[in-house]
Amino acid sequence: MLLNIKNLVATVEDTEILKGVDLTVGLGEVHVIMGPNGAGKSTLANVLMGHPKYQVKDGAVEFNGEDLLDMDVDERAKKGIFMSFQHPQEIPGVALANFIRTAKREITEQKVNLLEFSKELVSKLNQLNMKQEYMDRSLNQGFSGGEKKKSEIVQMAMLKPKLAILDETDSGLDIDAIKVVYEEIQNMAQKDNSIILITHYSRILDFVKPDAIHVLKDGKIVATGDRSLADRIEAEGYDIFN
Amino acid sequence: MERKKSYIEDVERGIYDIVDQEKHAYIVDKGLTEEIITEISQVKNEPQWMLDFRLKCLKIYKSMPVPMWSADLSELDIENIVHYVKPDAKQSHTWDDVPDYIKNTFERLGIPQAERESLAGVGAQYDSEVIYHSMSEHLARQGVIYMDIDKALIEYEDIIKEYFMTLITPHDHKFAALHGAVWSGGSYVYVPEGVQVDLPLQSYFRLNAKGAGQFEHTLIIVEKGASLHFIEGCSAPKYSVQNLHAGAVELFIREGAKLRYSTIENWSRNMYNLNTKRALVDAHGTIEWISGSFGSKVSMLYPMSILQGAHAKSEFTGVTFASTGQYLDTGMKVIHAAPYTNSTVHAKSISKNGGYAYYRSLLRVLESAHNCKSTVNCESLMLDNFSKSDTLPIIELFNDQVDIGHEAKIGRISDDAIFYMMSRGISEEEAKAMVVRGFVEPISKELPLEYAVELNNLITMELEGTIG
Amino acid sequence: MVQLAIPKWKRMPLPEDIFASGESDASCVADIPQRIVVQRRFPQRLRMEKSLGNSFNIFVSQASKNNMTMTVKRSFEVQQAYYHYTVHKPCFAENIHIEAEAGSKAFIVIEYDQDDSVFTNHHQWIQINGRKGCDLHLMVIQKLSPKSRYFSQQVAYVEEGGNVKITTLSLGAALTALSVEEHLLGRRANGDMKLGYLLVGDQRSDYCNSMFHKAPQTTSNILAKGVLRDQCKKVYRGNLFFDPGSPQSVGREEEFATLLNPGVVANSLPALICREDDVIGEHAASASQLDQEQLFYIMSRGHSKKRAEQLIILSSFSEMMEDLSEDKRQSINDWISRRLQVERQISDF
Repeated sequence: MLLNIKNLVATVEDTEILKGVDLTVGLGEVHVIMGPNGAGKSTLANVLMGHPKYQVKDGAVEFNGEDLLDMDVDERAKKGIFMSFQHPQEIPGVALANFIRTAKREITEQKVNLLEFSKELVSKLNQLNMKQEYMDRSLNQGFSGGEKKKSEIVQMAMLKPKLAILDETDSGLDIDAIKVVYEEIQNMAQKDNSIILITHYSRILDFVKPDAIHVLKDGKIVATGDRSLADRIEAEGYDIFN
Repeated sequence: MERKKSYIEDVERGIYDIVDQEKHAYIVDKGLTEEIITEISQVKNEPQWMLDFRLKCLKIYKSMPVPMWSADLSELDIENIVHYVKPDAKQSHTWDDVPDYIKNTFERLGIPQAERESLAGVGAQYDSEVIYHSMSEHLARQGVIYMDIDKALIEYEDIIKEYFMTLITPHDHKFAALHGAVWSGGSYVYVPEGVQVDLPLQSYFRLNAKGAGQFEHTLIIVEKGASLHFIEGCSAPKYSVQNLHAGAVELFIREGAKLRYSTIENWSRNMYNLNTKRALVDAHGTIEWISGSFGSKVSMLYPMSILQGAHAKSEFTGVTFASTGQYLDTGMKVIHAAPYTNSTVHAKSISKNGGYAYYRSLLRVLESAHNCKSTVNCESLMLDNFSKSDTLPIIELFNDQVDIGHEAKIGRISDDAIFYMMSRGISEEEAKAMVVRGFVEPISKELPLEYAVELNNLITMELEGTIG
Repeated sequence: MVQLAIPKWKRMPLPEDIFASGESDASCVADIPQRIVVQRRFPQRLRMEKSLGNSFNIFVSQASKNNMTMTVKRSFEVQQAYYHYTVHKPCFAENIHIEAEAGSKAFIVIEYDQDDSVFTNHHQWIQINGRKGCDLHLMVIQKLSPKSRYFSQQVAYVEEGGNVKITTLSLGAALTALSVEEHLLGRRANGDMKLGYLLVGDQRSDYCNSMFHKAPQTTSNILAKGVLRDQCKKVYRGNLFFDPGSPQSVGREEEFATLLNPGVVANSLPALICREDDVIGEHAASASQLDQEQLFYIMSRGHSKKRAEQLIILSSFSEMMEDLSEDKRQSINDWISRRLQVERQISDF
């Protein structure tokens, strides 16, 4: 068991968004979370990553046997959690390559071999159809929406987290981009890395084979199933879970 | 009782010394004496404490110099203020003396003749008693008090004593001290806890010819959870030969209460409008200022909100229109003195034909006021090259947990916009008027309909050049 | 030397010894290309501008030991000049004249460094004559000790079609008073001012950026970005003037202040003075804490809170340093990082 979420209740500015979420994710598993807007999907991702604007009112989260909620944001990253942001931040003056390399050093607490790192980075950029020059560009500055998302995936691929939480990574990407992004995701999952994919579109299920599909509605997980669950949602909408 | 004071020349670096030097002029005022003040007080049958207060203000007034950091107040007959305040000061002009532009405005705004005479200060008191009485009964049923402040001083002495000139003190500036000494007339409004006053109260109906409201004092208390909309002034120009207006407005908004204070000022073009307005807002209270400044020769108007309770809010929406010979120096001051407070300012100014429109403001966030937010947005439109428009805001922050944004823009009517409208058959004048009305729309939409209509008419007249 | 009166400023009191006479010296390493001619003399003041005030003007004239005229000759390529001063005496006063000839292009960097234990009153007058069609970028980088004072007056006159950009990175000193003015005198002249500042400990600063549009179709941009920490205080005045005779001009002014903890005092006075209707003038001033979203993002990649804060702070200055070499940017970033790590600033003021 990599991640064990029990009865998670979280608020933002006194409004309760997560009302008792239960979820378990094993090693190397891919979980998809779907749900209507405002259900709390992004909130769940941000709470797992430790965004200070959310307050956890009840429940527990165990990551690799440790109490995750007790840890600060950077600690969680060091433990192996990665979140791909829905709206990645722009940090002018900080080159993409430098940022990733420094992050890798912080997380692994080891020196990073420059040559190996650069080779790997260039290869990942190629895989995602991003030009090599992005390495030296200021992080996310002037990147289009799609490029920002791809930059997140490059970071994930380089940092190799134990658990990657991808928040609506497919929105803003054209079909070709979705394909390469999800290939990379599937790649990661084949090793022992786990993935939680938050999405609106069941379309991605054409590219990724999840171990479970969950529906998050009104702050709770209301259903868990397989591909057929997704098909039902596609056909009948989320109201079937009322 | 003359006292000379020497002042260290405190030259403000930056724009303030490039544009205006901070100077003071000390003037001997022989006319205004204790005897005259005592006479005023006795005629009104005031309690002793009020007379004492007036005399104290007179002393303070005499010890302060005339501020010279902004408008040229030299044409104000400061040495003869007594002419403005003597109880038996009579309006000595007739209808024929009233300037044509005033008469034209009355005509365009469709003001009835009797009202015109009253506004021009030549007729008998405008008989608004009928309207006033029916409003009065309706209010009385809710427990709302709305009366002349002179009367309230007698009937509600304790409350008045507790609040009067505690928010605007005589030490604040020379004209506040003057006001404290010679104030006369004005409105007192008290809204009890939880009462939502459903119709806007209009001070217009309290106008009276004598003294023409030069030094009126407005005191409004809105108790917990209550709400009120008060409208001061009117768009019709008020004419008077005595050219100083130094009124005061003190607004107390209690916890969770809401007050909307709308003003349309259109004093005649010889007036010096040096009004002082302040609001003190308690926790979760809201003050909304809606302001349209059109008239007067010189205006120095800086309504101020003091947000002293957590989650208090201040909103200001205003427009200033300065035309030939006018110097309109207006703005907004907000003090955030408590956490989680919020303020917004939307100020627009238009200057035309040599008018000066200045936006001058202060935003101060005190050390204790964490997590507060403020947005200031000012836009200035200059209609030609002879006018002047300045924006001089000051932001003083003593706390880091703030979210402050200030923006100002200055420009002219876009040629493209005019061309587009003309290509649809609209004349150039009408196109310009539409742009200006559109510019002013955020303010006019906050006013009751009849005021909005009058506002639009005023603008049209201003643009046509039929005024001034 | 004439006894000079210490001006009384409403928002920033000045200490008694700012005009103290004393040994005035600094060692200098310079790298000057051929097309920039340097003479050790200072021509007259171009105009008596108000700047920081008479007292400051007079003092710099009298006390200056570093007088310099740089004449930039016309060229196709951008001429790069670099001056590195190490200041080690209690007084350092300089008068610098930069004559950017018609059609010249130059990027001139003047950097001031100092050991943390040294105390100096550094007075500076820089005037720029930007001739027709010139393209000049002057960058002044102040990294004085936490004990010193920095009084800088920079004035530029820009002729027709000229482009004068002045960037000031004011990173050190216990007390800074800065006045940068650009007068756009000729049609289509362009003025650009950038100010980056860092205030920690007890540091105090009074910055004034003034842009004067005096001719038609002139354009300008003022950008000020700063970071405030501990018990520092800053006053920022941004003045955008449109004089009569400057139709179709466009001017912008923006100020961003990042406040890192309670106890900082930040005053802003952005002013717009307009005497010409056919212009576009905009100004914006904002102040807030560090962007929480940015912090969270960087921390989510494993950086500690402190490192994340540092990264964001360094990032805010990156815009100012675009024209510098990678090495220079890195060295300034290192200097800033060291300054940020120091817990207490020792200051006489």
